[in-house]
Amino acid sequence: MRPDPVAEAFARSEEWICDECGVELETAEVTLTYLGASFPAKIPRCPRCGMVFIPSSVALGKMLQVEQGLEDK
Amino acid sequence: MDNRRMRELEEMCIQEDPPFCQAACPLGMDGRGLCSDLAAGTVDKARAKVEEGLPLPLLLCRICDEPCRTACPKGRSGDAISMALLERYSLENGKAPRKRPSFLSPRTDRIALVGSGLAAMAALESLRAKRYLPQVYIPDGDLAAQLREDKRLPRDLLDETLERLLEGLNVVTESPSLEELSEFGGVVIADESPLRYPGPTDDVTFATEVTGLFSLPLPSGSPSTEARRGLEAVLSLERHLQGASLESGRTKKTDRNTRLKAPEDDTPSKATVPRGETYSSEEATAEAARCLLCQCLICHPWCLYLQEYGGSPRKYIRTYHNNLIINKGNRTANRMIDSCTLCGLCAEVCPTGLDVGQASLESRRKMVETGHMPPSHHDYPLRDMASALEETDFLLDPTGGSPEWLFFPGCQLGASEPRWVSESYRYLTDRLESVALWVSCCGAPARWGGREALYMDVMDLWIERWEGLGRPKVVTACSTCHGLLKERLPEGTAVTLWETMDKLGLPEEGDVSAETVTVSDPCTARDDRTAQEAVRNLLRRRGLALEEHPRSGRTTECCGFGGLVFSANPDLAKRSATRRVQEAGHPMVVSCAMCRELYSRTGHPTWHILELLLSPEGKAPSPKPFPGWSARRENRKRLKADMTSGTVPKEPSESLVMDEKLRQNLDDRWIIEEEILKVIEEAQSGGPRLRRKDSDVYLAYSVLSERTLWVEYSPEGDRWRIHDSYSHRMTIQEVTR
Repeated sequence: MRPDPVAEAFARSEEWICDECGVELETAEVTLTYLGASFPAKIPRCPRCGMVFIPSSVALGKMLQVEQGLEDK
Repeated sequence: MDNRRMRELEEMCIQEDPPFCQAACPLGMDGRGLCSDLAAGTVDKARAKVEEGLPLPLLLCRICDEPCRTACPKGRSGDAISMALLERYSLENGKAPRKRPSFLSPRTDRIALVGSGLAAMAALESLRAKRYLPQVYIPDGDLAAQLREDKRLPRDLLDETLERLLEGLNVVTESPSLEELSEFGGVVIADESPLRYPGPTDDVTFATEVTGLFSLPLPSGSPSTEARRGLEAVLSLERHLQGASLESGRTKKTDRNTRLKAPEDDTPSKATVPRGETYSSEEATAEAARCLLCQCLICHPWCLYLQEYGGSPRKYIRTYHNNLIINKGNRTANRMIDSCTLCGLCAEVCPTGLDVGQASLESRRKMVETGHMPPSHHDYPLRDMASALEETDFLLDPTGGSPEWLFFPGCQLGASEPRWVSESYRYLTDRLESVALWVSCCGAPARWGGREALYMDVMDLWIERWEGLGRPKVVTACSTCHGLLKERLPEGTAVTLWETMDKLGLPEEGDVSAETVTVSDPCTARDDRTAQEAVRNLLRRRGLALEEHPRSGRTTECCGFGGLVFSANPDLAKRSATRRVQEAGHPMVVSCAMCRELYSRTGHPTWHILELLLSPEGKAPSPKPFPGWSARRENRKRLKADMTSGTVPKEPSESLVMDEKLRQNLDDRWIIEEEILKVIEEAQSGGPRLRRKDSDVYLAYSVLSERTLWVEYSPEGDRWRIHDSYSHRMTIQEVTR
C-alpha cells in the first residue's frame, strides 16, 4: 500500500514545537472551510494557543485539490 | 450569455457545414466520410455509410448522375472524385453490416403506392424498412419500368431488387380508381403513374390539396433526385399517419448549403480509372486518397488554445454554454473558458469572422455575475492591479493642473524597467511643452477577468481624472491601455509613444550594433497599423535589420499574458510563448512590456523597443532575463519613489535570502517577497510561530485577504533566510489567533 502523503506530512509535525508555548503539537479536530463548504480535518496544533501546522505538501497537495474541486462546483 | 447569443456565435462556426459533395447530393451522401474510410482501408465502414446514405444503393451507384462532381473542389483544376465508383467498390467489397433481427410486427395502416420507376422503388424500399405493407398499383405492369432500358443495370440485379421489394405485398398491375384510393389512409403517387395529381403540390413535402395524398412531379431525369423524391414522399406519408407536422424541419434539409471555403493548397490530379469495370482495392484507395476531406478548421493551426481542448470553435462555444447552465455536478470547463487570451486572431482568420474570445469573455462575465468564477484563476493579476491602482499610482504634473500632454505608460512598463518610464518621460519633456506623467492601470485585468463592473469603475475614474487635467492629449506606451482608452476618448486624443517618437526623432542618435532582429507585434495592436509602422521605422532608423515574425501585423498572436491566461492556465501561456519564439529567426523586439516578459521567460533573447531606443552607448545591451513578479512589484515602487522624490523604501529583496530555485518556485506560486516579509514581521513581533526543534528555523503564517501564506524562515545575519513559502485558500475554523 502506498503511504498516505497527508499522514506522512503530518508526521513531520513531531519536528516542530510551538515557539510561544514551548509545547509539542497534538492532533486536533478542526473545520476547514472554502466557498461555503466545510470539512472536518485532523490537524496538528498547539494544545495551549491553538497555533496549527500545515506543511507545504498538504497545502499544495490535498488542500489545493479540494480547493480546485470546490471552485468548479 | 443567453441561449440566443450562444446559438448566434455557434452558428458562425462553419466547421460542421457539409462538404461540397454532400451539399450537392440530393440524398446528402457523406462523400467525405466515404473517402476518409476508403483511404484508411476501412471498407466495411465505407459500405455501411453507402447503405445508410443511399436508397437502392446497388442500383444507384451504377446510374447516379453524381451532382457531387460539379461541386467537388478537385474538379476545379483536375478531375473531381469518382464518388459512384467508390460507392460501388464499397458495396461489393465491404462486409454487409450485421442486421438486427426485428421482432416487431408490420404496421397495419392502410396505405397505397401507385406508379413505377426509381422514385417508386425508393419509396417502396423506405416503406418496407419502416414496416409498412402498402397496396401497390403498377399501371404499366413493371415497377422497374424505364430502368430496364439502361444497359448499365444488369437484368438480374433489377429482378432481384423487384422480388425483394414486392415480396409479400398485394400488387395490382393496373391503375386504381379514385374511389378505391379514397379508402386508404395515405397514398403516394410516384413518377411513372398516369394518375399524377393535376393540382399544385408542395415542392418539399409533395403534399397535395387532398389530405394524405402525396404526388411526385414529372420525372426529373436525375436518378439521385428521383431517389430523393421517393424518400421525401414516404416521410410525408409517415408524418401524415402520425398526425405530425409535414413541414417541420424540412425546408432546411432540401436547401442544403455549405459555407465552406474550398481548400487552397491543392495539387490538381487525374481521376483513377478502373482497369476493369470496377475499382480494385489499390485503385479505390488511390482515388479516395485524392479527396481533400473538405472541412473548415482554418483557425486551428493559428491558435494553440483552439488545439488545446480539441474540436471546432462551435464545440468550444457549446461547451462554454453547457458549463454556464449546469445546475448540479462539476463545472469542468471553467479553466477552459479562462484559457483564451481574447487576442482576436481567430476572428481575423475565420471565414465568417467568429471571435471565440468574445464568447469566452461573455462566459467569464456570466461566471462572475453568478458567483461561479473560480477565485484562484485571476487572483494574482487582480491583486497586482489593486497594487498598481493604490500603492504605486502617481501623477507628476509640472504644469499644476493643465498639461497639454499626458504621458500614460500604463502599469507594466515601469514594473519591467523603471528607467523605460523615467527616460521616456524625459524624452517627451525635452521635446514637448507641458507634459504630465501619470503611472497607473487602465483596468484591463478586470475586463479580461470578466469583472466588467470593476473595469468600468476603474475606467470611469480614469476619465474623471483626465477631465480634471483639462482633457490633455494622451501618449500611451502600452497597446492594451491604448486600445481601451480609444474606446472612451475622443478620436485623435490618444497617440502611441511610438508614433510620437517617430515624429519627434530618435532619443539617442547613432546606430545600435545588433544583428538582425525579429519584430513581433502585440496582439492588442493587431488593428493599429500606424503603431506597427512607427515601431518598424524607429528600429530601422536605429540601424537595425528587421525580420518579420511569420505571424505579425493583423495575424499576430498573444504571448500568453492576454486574457490573464498567464494566471489561469500558466502552462498553456508558457507553451504559447515558446511556440512563438521558436518561430522567430532572431532575437525579438517587442513594443509591449508583457510580451517582453513572457518571451524573455522562455529564455529567448527579447528586447523591449525602448531598451534599444534609449540605449545611450550606441550599442544594443544584452537582453535582460525575466525579472520575476516580485522584482516587478519592487520596480514599480522604486519608480514611484524616484519620480516623486519620496523616500526610497527598503526593498523586501534586501531583507530576504533564498536560492534561485526557490525564488522561481515562489514566482510560480504567485508569492511575492513583500508578502513574505509581512508574515515574518508579524511573527517576529510576537505573533504565533512554530520552531523546528533544536534549531532557529521558524514557521509562521498570516491570512492575506483570501489566502493563508506560510513562511519557513531563519535569521541569517540581519536578513532572513527563506526555506519555503506556500499558501492555501481554505480557512481553518476553531482556531483563534
